[in-house]
Amino acid sequence: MAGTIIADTLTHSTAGSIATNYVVDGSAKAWVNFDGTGTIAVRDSLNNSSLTDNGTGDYTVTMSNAMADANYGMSGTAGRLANDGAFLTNPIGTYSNTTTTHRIKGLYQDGGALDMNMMSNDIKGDLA
Amino acid sequence: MSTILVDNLTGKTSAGDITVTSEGGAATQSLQQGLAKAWGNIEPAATPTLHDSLNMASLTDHGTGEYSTNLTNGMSAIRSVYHSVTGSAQQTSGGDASSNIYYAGSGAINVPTSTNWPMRVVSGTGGQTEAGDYAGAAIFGDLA
Repeated sequence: MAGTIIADTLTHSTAGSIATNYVVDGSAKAWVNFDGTGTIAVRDSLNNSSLTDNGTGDYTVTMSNAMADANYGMSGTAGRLANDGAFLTNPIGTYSNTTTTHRIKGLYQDGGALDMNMMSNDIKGDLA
Repeated sequence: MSTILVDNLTGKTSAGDITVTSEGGAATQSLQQGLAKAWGNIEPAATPTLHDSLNMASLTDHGTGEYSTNLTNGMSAIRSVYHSVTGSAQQTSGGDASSNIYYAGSGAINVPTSTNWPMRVVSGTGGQTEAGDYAGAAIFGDLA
């Protein structure tokens, strides 16, 4: 039988203490590493249920467990196998995040969208 | 209020899996999977410098704006290119625009391993590589 501990603070013998809300609130609630070229494919993830290919370099990420609201933090990186430019991820300005979905984009150095071999994205905030 | 005095947390049913309840109480999630396994506050310019970090032993300089992070405890070797690396960067000198950070996957310095991940600071306006004044990176995934 698995045990359950209810506590407000964790204290290490030498490294200090942390309130357990920081452990829960400070953890990423979702992350994903995927190949955004061809048929997009998830390599590894947490709390990711699916990806949608919206076109060149444009992806919708869907989470399994919903966030409490759509005001969560997102960060990410992108890269291509060809080392030939700059690649960025950014929220899609015309798209509104929902509690379970958000869109990210891979950009080439000229600002144009481009399919990316390595897309990483993580989410911080409150789960529902 | 309760306090647990502990040096190590280990799952009972599965050593590498401790479940925590979500803020809203509607879901549960693996504690280990949600934790960043490494992060760094990095000054990429000239000789790359780690100002603060978790599980980053050092940086290797590969030229202007190009460096790789060397982890103390490696990520799962089997899934070395599978972990999630996210970050940001900034170029404050010369009135330049803020930059972003990215990684690529080809070339001798651009092959991720379990302990090393190549990263680069690029301009937010032109896309060219820049030295950068600040970069932050976080790595999620399975530790070895």
